[in-house]
Amino acid sequence: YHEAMKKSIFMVLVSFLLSLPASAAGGGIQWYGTWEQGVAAARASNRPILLVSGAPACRSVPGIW
Amino acid sequence: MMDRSFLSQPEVIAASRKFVCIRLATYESAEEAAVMSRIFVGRGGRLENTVFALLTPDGQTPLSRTGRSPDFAFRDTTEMVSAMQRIASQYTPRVTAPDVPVMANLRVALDVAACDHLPLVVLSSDDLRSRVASLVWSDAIIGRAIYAVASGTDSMSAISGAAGKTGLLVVKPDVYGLKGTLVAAVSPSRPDQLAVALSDALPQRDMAREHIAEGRAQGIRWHFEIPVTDPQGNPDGTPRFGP
Repeated sequence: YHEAMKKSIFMVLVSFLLSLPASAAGGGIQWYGTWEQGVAAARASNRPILLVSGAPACRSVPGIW
Repeated sequence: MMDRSFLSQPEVIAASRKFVCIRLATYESAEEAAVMSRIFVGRGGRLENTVFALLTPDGQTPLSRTGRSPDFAFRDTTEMVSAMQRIASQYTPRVTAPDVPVMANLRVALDVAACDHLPLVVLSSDDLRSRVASLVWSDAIIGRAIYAVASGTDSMSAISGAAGKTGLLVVKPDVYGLKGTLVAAVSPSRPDQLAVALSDALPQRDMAREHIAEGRAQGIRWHFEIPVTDPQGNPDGTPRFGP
């Protein structure tokens, strides 16, 4: 019984680890930092735009979104 | 607060590779504020801290519901990825000469790098852009750094060790993104050194609550280029309510 339990736990653990999403190639999203450069790249390449904005300071303290 | 739930997910990152991804620093440019205000404003009709949209390549037409963040438009990342894949399939991309995606200036670049917990790579001259663009977009390097070009109006004095250096200057920003330390000056002809240098230049992370409290206690404040119009903020960037 104990051996069967151990095996079951092991299989559940392996299944969990294999189900974790693999990282995308490279790092995170690569962002253009200006509208001018980004929209020029989008127009030239005919690719849609993912646009976000945020103030690079929280409660006026920089270094945190 | 920049979204951390959708945009950091591997499946969203993978889907983003078929988009041109633009992230603007709110309240740093009147021209960009006008662009963002055209796309989304809050209930008070004012530009708020964050904006999110999927747009046509000319930047004129929304392809999704717009809002402050992805969860204004999508229930979850599965729905967002499905929409992004469907949208991307409607456009036939053209092959173009790549360019290094740079921030507006060194000051904002240093702060954004700190916010993202990423290294900053400063190109010591503009003519390096064409030489390293393909490297920046390669699988080994993409999404691992923030980029800026040192211009005549930028002061490199905020980066210790950078004086007189040329090439790709890999900088580790300090916690508040106001200063940095040169980790390596990489030659464009040695791309293998860039990946190593980026790993060495990862800034430290700290807890948000402590970061803000200690920053305020030390009198560290970010100067916004244009007035803050978020309903939760005062024009000088201080919160309207609370200490």
